[in-house]
Amino acid sequence: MNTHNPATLEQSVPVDTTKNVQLIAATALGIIILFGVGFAPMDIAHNAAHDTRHSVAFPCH
Amino acid sequence: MYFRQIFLIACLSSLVASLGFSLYQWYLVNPIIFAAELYELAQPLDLAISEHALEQTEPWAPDDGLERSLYTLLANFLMCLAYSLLLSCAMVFRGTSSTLKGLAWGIAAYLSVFVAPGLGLPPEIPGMQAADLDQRQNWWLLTVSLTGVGLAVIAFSPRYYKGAGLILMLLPHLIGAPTSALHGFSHPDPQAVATLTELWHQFILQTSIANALLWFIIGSSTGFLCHRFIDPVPPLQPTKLTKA
Repeated sequence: MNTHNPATLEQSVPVDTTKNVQLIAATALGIIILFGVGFAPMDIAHNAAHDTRHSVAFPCH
Repeated sequence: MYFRQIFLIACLSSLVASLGFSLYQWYLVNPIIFAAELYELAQPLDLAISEHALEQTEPWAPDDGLERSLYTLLANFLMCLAYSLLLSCAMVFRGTSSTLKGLAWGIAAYLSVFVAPGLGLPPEIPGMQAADLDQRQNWWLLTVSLTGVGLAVIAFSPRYYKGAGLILMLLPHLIGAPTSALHGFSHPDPQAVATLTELWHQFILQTSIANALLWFIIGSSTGFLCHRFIDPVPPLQPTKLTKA
């Protein structure tokens, strides 16, 4: 796919590492979003996501 | 490459999942929340104006009706996006995927994110007395992580380690969920308490179905999309490329 990309040619980091770094980044993004929707203690976040938090049984109130 | 694919897959999957979940929630879960809130508001003044309420004077909240529904829809989408991101990362990390594998991952996630914490902290409707929020959140996080890790150990480790997975899953329940002395409903009218308890039982049933639906859609759709868009990507092989 990207065989003509010079960056790919010169890649010296093992592939598994770059794959894992990307997976960790995506996981971190997921955790941050989940924290914002389900756990952020601010009233604004709580009130906006109130019905969602109750429906998926996050600890609420 | 993986990050972009996973993000797009999660977006697609969470669009479908949040739509299905929101529809179910709108017709069968939200009416219970709204009904319970009527009792919450109707509590006597000395109970309603607790220290908590006095400290915070009228924080912003979406208006009932369309505005509230839109915010719920947005929150549902973001939550599905987060769940879908985590699920597809785990699936891609383990190797190839398929719709069936996705479904299995979805069931495991339903068990660890909804069922396991629900055994100690059942879903609650507004107006219930419960233990300290921080303690409940910590126990929730502990239970979800340990059940997730425990299920992974049972599924992927050699046979003689599987018992450890079971112990991990049982551990949070041995520790015990935080409880408060005043668990239940503080409403003074016994008739109202009976109605609220009935609503609560309905709520537990409906949220269990709604969350099963949510994970069914997230699991199968991320499994299908990962199989379609990530499995065909040939793994880069830098050693061969540098030689060429």
